Amino acid sequence: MGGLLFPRRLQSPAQLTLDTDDLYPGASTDISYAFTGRSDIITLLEISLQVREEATYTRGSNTTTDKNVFYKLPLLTSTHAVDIRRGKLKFSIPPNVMHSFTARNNKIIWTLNVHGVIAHWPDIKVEFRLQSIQPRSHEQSANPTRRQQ
Amino acid sequence: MNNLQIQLADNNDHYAPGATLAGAVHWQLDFPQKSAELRLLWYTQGKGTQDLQVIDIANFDAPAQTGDFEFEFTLPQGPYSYSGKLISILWTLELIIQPGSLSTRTDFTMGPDRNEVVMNAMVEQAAT
Repeated sequence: MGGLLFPRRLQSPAQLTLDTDDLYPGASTDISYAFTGRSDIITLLEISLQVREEATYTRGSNTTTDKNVFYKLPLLTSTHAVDIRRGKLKFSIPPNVMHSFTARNNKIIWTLNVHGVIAHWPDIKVEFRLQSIQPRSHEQSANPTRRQQ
Repeated sequence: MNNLQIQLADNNDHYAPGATLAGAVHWQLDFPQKSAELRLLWYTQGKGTQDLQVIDIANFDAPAQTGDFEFEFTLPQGPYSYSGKLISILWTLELIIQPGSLSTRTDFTMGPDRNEVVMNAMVEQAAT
């Protein structure tokens, strides 16, 4: 079971596909990447796994979201055309790290980031959001119970 | 003098996700209480506007000025206790007595290996 990741820019020439949707701290997965169109003009390709905090707050009439990338794991750096056009990577989510978290004003977001350098043209920068890195499953029930005397 | 207390079993304040969180509450009031409840919740601290979610509530119905009750919750899988640059996520038990909205809180940690996840530790892992 795998998942096709959709970039935030839908016209992106980059496509990433995960081998599994079941991601959690400590899990491993393969990821396939490919470029459509003229990938031969990309001179440097970097793919990284990143985690960031997003905190939204209101001051007066302005609502602002601050962002802080606090984890970056390089997965690929290549200048070889054959590696840039398409390929497959394996990556692991480190154990004992923070899972995805989504609340109204505070978020922790996992992403795969593609950065391609093209001579004399703006770089390609595409972010693929990993939908959810779940907390590790434990044997005990997640259903709250209570006892009182 | 009103007195509210939350006591965690074995004075343990570090738990794994899915673990049983047990303890006892005690109150001694100068007035009759109408209700008492113990809330299991997480909340955020930091730069962003606070988020909060009550996960479970234990109600103590006996209307008495003095109360001693045991409680037990099963913790969910997440969110983990977390300390970052912009956001912290904290778990707490909150005992609330009515009327008067008297309350007391006891924080605890829930995460992998019973510890909170700290942003700096993650950066070190990424660098190795």
